[in-house]
Amino acid sequence: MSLTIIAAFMIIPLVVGLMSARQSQETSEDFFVQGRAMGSIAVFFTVAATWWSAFAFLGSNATFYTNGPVYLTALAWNLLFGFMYYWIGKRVWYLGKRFNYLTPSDLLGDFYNSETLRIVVAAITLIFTVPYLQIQLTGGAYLIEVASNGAIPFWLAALLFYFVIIVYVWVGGIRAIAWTDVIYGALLFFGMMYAGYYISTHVGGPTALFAQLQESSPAHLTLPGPNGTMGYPMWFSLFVITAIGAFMGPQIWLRMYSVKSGRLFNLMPFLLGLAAIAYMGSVLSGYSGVLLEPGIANADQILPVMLMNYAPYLLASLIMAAGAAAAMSTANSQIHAVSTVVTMDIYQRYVNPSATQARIVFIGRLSLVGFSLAAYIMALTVPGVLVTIGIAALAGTAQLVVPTLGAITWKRAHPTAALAGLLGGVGCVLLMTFGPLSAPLGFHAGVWGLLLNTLLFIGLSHVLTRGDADVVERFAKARRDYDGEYHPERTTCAASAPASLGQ
Amino acid sequence: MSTHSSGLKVLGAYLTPRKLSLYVSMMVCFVMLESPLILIANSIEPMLFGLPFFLVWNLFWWFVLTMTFLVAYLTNWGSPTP
Repeated sequence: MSLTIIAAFMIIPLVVGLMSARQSQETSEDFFVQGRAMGSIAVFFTVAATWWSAFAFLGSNATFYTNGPVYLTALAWNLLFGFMYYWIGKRVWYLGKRFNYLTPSDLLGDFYNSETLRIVVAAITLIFTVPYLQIQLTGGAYLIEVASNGAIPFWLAALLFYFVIIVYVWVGGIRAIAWTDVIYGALLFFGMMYAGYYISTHVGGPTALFAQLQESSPAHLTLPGPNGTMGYPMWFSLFVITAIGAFMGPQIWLRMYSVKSGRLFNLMPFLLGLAAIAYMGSVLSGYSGVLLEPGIANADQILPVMLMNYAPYLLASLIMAAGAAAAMSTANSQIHAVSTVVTMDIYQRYVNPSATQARIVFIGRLSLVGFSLAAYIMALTVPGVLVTIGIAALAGTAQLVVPTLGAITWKRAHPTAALAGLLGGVGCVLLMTFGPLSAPLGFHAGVWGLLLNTLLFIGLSHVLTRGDADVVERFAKARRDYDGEYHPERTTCAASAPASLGQ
Repeated sequence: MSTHSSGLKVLGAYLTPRKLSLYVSMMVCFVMLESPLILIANSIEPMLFGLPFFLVWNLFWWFVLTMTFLVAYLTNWGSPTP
């Protein structure tokens, strides 16, 4: 029976993706950003399902299980993500539509008028997205392996997983992803909530669960958790790094550029915030695991193991399909996004600037296969805990927020400052994560990276002066037009502003 | 001095009262959730509705901020409706 569910889980998205492809056009704008005409339902589901990943579905349970309540900070990071989608995303969308951007490098390279910065931004998005892609593959394959009772081994599960994604993204681009994400998103939220509720009934329901936990392992209910390592610094670090890092991932950038109407951005913080209630499911299942299945070696497998041990086989398989949906809905978007970066930022810009639309789309499709293969090999050969790998990857992409904020708000933002800030921030993350330095005071390396990045960016921008007044003025005019359209009160008061304001 | 007061005046116009109250509400919620103040709520007791106090605190401020986002949407985030 579970093999039937797994087969259905693979085939249904494939069919939906292939159906959506009938509306596709062979242009790069259609393949990468759906002609900037994505409607509200598709935008919400594809942003939410892309943002919620194996990290959320499996990593959250594992963290409650091993480290106590630190993952509750997810409620706030979802709200921060939603706020940024409104405040930053709407401005990025406006500039993207106005200047025809497809990638993060397009916007940052254009505003800072720097080829070096363009390449550095593309490199950061690629290097730090692939490990995050790897954890989706690992998480999804775990679930399929467990759901099939080992009949489908990890290597085959991962291979099947990517085969399905490649086929429908190949033919339908981001449109196919958005359609399939509606299914994945619904499955994911239902699955998380229901899994938690169902498993907690085996210990007497939610209130009995907390009463028992208070008796047997009270350290699981407060910071710094049972291991004593997840205190306030990690609480704050996860909040900052996860929200900003995921938001700055190329897959979310494409979901800013793709939106049809600016008004939709106003609603997204509420919708994305509301969806965070699904984490209550993880609270219940992770904590139930402490009582029901103490001592599981690989905490990422706590949910699948409990489902197989305590839920009817059919229900367990369905919920695990929901978990695989969380992984697939992020993986499909990431594969598509990195292929966009390779195609537009490297191939079209430096290898073949006169490439036809058909050629660009073809290269985009080849990149899909290449990056999937890289992530597949990493999933088979690089071990690690989902949340640990995920946070390190997010800490890298989070560094892009500093030059992005400069580009959308600050005339004085200087390309050298942006470059120095990015290199400093990323260097700090790498040195503190993999090198000889350790992150001080318990805060994650990504937080220190962001701090250094911001200081370098602001300090150097104040010292240096840009020589390309035409570019600065082009963006200043775009910002004024944005305000005129969406914040008319600003244009009224800007007329009476002193000369120093807005600099 | 005149530049300073003029700047404040512009800032005041920039942040309409409705927009200011929205952003202040959001800031308060984020502070309650993510500043070191969270440690005040870092306890199991008093249990409310059978839930640990730390969890209730987080759920409460999450709910307030989510509703603030809804109000922000309904009021066009404090800007005049086009």
